[in-house]
Amino acid sequence: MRGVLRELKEYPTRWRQLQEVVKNPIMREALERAMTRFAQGRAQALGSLGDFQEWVEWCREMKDRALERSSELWDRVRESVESRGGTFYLASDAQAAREYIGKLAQEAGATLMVKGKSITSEEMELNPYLASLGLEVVETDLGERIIQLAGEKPSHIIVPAIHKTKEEVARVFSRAWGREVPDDPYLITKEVRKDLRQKFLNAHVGMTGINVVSADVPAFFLMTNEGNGRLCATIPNVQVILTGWEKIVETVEDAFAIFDILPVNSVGLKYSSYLSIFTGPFSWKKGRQLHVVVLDNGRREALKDPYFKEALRCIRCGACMNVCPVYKTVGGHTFAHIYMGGIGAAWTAITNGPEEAREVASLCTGCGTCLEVCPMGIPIPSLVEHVKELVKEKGQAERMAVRLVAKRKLLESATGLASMVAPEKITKLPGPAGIITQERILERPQLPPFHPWALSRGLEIGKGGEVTLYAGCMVEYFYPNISRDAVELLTRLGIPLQIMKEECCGLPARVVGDMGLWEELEAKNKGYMPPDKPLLFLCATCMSGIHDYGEKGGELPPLYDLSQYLLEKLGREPFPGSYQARVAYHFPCHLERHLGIKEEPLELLSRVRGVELVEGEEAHLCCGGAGLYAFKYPPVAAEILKKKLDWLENENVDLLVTSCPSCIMQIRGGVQKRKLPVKVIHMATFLLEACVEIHSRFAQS
Amino acid sequence: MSEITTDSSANPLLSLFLENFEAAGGVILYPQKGESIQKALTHMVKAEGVRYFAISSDVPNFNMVSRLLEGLGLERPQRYQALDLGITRAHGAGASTGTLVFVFSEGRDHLLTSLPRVHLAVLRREDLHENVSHATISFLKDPEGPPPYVSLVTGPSRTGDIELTHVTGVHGPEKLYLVVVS
Ligand code: SF4
Ligand code: SF4
Repeated sequence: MRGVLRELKEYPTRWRQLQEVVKNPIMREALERAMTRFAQGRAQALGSLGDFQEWVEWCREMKDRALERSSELWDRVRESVESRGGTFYLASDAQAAREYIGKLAQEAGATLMVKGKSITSEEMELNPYLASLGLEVVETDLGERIIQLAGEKPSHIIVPAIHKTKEEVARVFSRAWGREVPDDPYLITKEVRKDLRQKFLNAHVGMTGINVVSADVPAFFLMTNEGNGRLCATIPNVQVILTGWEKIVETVEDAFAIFDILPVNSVGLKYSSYLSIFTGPFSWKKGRQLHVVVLDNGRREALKDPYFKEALRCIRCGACMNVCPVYKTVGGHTFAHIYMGGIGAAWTAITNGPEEAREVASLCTGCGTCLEVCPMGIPIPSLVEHVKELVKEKGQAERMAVRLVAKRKLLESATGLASMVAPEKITKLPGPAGIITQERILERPQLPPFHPWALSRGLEIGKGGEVTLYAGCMVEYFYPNISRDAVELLTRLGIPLQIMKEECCGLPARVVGDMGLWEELEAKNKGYMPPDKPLLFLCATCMSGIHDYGEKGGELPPLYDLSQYLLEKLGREPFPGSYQARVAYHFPCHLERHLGIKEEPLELLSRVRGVELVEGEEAHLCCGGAGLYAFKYPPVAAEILKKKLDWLENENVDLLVTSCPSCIMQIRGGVQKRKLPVKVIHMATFLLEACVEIHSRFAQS
Repeated sequence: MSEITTDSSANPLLSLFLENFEAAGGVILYPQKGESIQKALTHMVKAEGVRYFAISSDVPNFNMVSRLLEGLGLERPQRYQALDLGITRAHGAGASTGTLVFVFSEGRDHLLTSLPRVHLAVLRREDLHENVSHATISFLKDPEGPPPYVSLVTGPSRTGDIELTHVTGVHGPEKLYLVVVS
């Protein structure tokens, strides 16, 4: 309990910090610009690769195969490097690797080291350590150099200094060089070229990271666009290759395949400017040495973890971050600890332990947007959940909230009470919680809950219907009108309905890492489900949660979203109803990305006479609601929602239809706060309103 | 040196390569319509204001090119740092991405590709493959053992690190020129 209170007390501070981040216009605009450019570039260039899903399958298998055999493959690489006159060191942890590299530099009598971009070295906190030995370490990637001189952290994985304007960059170099530097990107770049050229030529040690290591022909592949990596690797006398254990693949063909996809998926570039391949010491002048340092630091342990093992496939293309709504909103300074983004939470957990990753993990909304672009098929949201599951001491407040919400009796009393004492619309919460209502209003729960009403209407539990309706907690206690509309609609369409005894689907528990509760609820619901009838959902999140019950095996009844079920019933017929309006649909993340239902809702809407369908990529953006997320991180949730609201406003949408009560709560709250003339309603409500004249013609079919 | 045609029906692979090479930001000196290699080279060194150059001895037509450039008053520098132009042979190329393959075992030729502001690569048409992986893997799988360093180059050195503004010539060449011979 103490932990819960402490965490609750910390929220307002966290909110203020996030508020500052999301309101930083330079950061926001720069991130938006970069990520949009990269995501669009990717979309355009992707065509040249053929079927992306085939790639994903292929890459996943290729990399899993290599990781499975990684010990043996690395043995081969070690043997080859040593036989060709290089040294090979496997560092068990960051400290061992730091000390080894420090010793190498000292033995070479080095005072200057040039360095290519290497996230692995950041993971090891190498630079500060080498500096403490009196070694000057110079980052040579332009973006990294800016960050280094400014004493900051990267804000984006591909363009680390994207948060700095050209004026700021010019100031950074003016300060470093003690003379005026013009604020022109071209001129700055040329000045940096001159400055760093001297460093390359004078450095004793050159160190780079590595993108891929092949084992059949042991070779190290390094990709850059600026050409700094190859200068680091070839000019100084001592070449150090630093690589993580996970970078291994079986064959050079596999390595090349990664470079076919990496730059395309990353920024929409067909091929990077430079791909440098090293197989041993490059002795173009006397005394050149090659040292290979392979970092374990938790990676081999992760190979044994069914979740984290998947993260080891990551090729750090950054595509998942370029599309991530949270990353776009708060950037890599906030949505990162060591590694960035949702995948970064898993990686930070692997290298530095889950405790350090917990805070970052909790920023992920679980929207799954990243799943669609990852070439290695990494299930990022599941990895994030796994991080939360592992850290029991943190997230106690949210776990307690979920435990309370999952208790149906308690929820019933609480919402019942709220529906009696709260005003219809809450426009301003008192105290620090006021931030929750800053950009949205809250609605009071409606009465009565669904099940008592349904029973009074003669619906029966587990019998009498051709389909079983699962209402879910949000519909049951906050928006029972949705389920009443659904019952009304299906009755009019002549579809007999039954209900079931229900518990919370458990997804909120899983999302906060409470696997015990998740499994408990899963078992209960499985016991309640009538096995012989399809299960119909009004909440995409519940459907997604229950869909995942199937992961453990065992039969589930067929699951249907309302739109799927009705389309199946309609066959090729139009929907028997009409609605004159500009209608947009909001795809709930769980519906589209977790369940893969991408077409049916639009298809169904287009079958309603009079509907003018408004489509756009904004229809697919996460709304920021994500269940409790909008209450946990209101500034982020509100900022994510903005794009959707702008879209509704600009397109003069009359009606926004969707299939998830949590999305309705979030979007309607924002719409009303902004006073937009947009009605936000559930598909069931919309269809019922469209049914002006219904015959029970499906009944006979 | 025999004439090369870029007529796509006659040589689809070469056309594809040249198209992708240009798309990546490279500049084709030869073959270009109506210009001899000599003329194209002359124009280039004038336009680029080249004073110091170095040429690798394995460049096809080494003597002809060296004499031509010396005849134009270009000099060999004392130090590599002063180089404006480096001329090297590309040992292979991949058409689908417009990539050049340079293979290095020893010597200083690699400096001619990485240090100067302008890099001119000379490629023999026989060394052109469809994919850069094909062009490279044969070197890596050399029965005598792989070369220690293979450098694949696609266009000039570039960055977008400051406000995403595209700038070429960060640490490597600002300009990448190509001559294809047969
Ligand atoms: S699930 Fe959504 S919020 Fe989480 S990392 Fe992926 S894109 Fe970002
Ligand atoms: S998780 Fe996937 S998309 Fe994200 S950086 Fe890694 S490989 Fe790329």
